[in-house]
Amino acid sequence: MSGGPFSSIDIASTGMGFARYWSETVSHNLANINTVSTFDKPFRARMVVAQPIDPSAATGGGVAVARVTEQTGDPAMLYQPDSPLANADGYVAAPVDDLAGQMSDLILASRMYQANISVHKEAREALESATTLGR
Amino acid sequence: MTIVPIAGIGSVTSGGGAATKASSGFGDAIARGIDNVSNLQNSADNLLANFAAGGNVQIHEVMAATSKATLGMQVMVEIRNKALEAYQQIMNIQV
Repeated sequence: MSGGPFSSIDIASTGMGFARYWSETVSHNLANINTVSTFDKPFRARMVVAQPIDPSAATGGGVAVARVTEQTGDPAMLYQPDSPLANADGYVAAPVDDLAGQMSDLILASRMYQANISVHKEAREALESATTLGR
Repeated sequence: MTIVPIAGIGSVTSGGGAATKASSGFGDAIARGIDNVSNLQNSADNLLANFAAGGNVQIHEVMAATSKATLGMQVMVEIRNKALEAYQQIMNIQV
C-alpha cells in the first residue's frame, strides 16, 4: 500500500473507507436509540476500533477497521408492564446507547471523511502540478 | 532534518506485457509506462462498472482509481509531447 506515486491517494482512500464504516455503525446505533429488549440481551451500541495499516513502513499505510465492539454497562430499566418483553416485575431493558455521544461520533466521522477527501485533492493537485514541470 | 530520497522509476510496478522484456532502452521504458497507464485505466474502468452494477465497491475507491488513471494519462501525454519536441528538433537540424 505505501510507496509508489499514488500512496497518498491510497492512504486517504483507507481513511474514507474507515469513516464510512464508522458512520454506518453510528447510523445503526441511532436507528436503535429506542430499541428496548429483554434484560438478557439488551441492545448495545456498536463501536468501531481503528488500527493502523503497516505501521512499520516509513510513511505508514493508512487505517483499517480492527474490530467492532459493543458498548458495555448495565441497561437502564424502563417500566413497561404491557410489553411482551417485560420481565416478571414489568421492566424492559433500555438500549445501552447514548444519543449525544452518537451525534458527536456522526460529526467526527463526517469530518474524518471530509479531511481524507482534502488529502486526496491535495495529493492529486500536487501530482498534476508536477506534470507541468517539463514545460 | 533528513530528506527522504524520492523512489526511483524502478519502484513503479510494471505492467504485464512489457515486464518480460529486457528493461533497457528508451522505447522499452515508454512501453512499460504505457502499460502502467493502461492498467490504471482498466482498473478504474472495472471499479466503475462494478460500482454502477451495485457491486461491493465504494464511491471513494472509484474516484481514487479515476484520479490515478487521469494522472497517469497526463504524465504520458507530457512525455509524448517531450519526445515529439525532441524529434522535431532533430528534424530541423540543417544539413
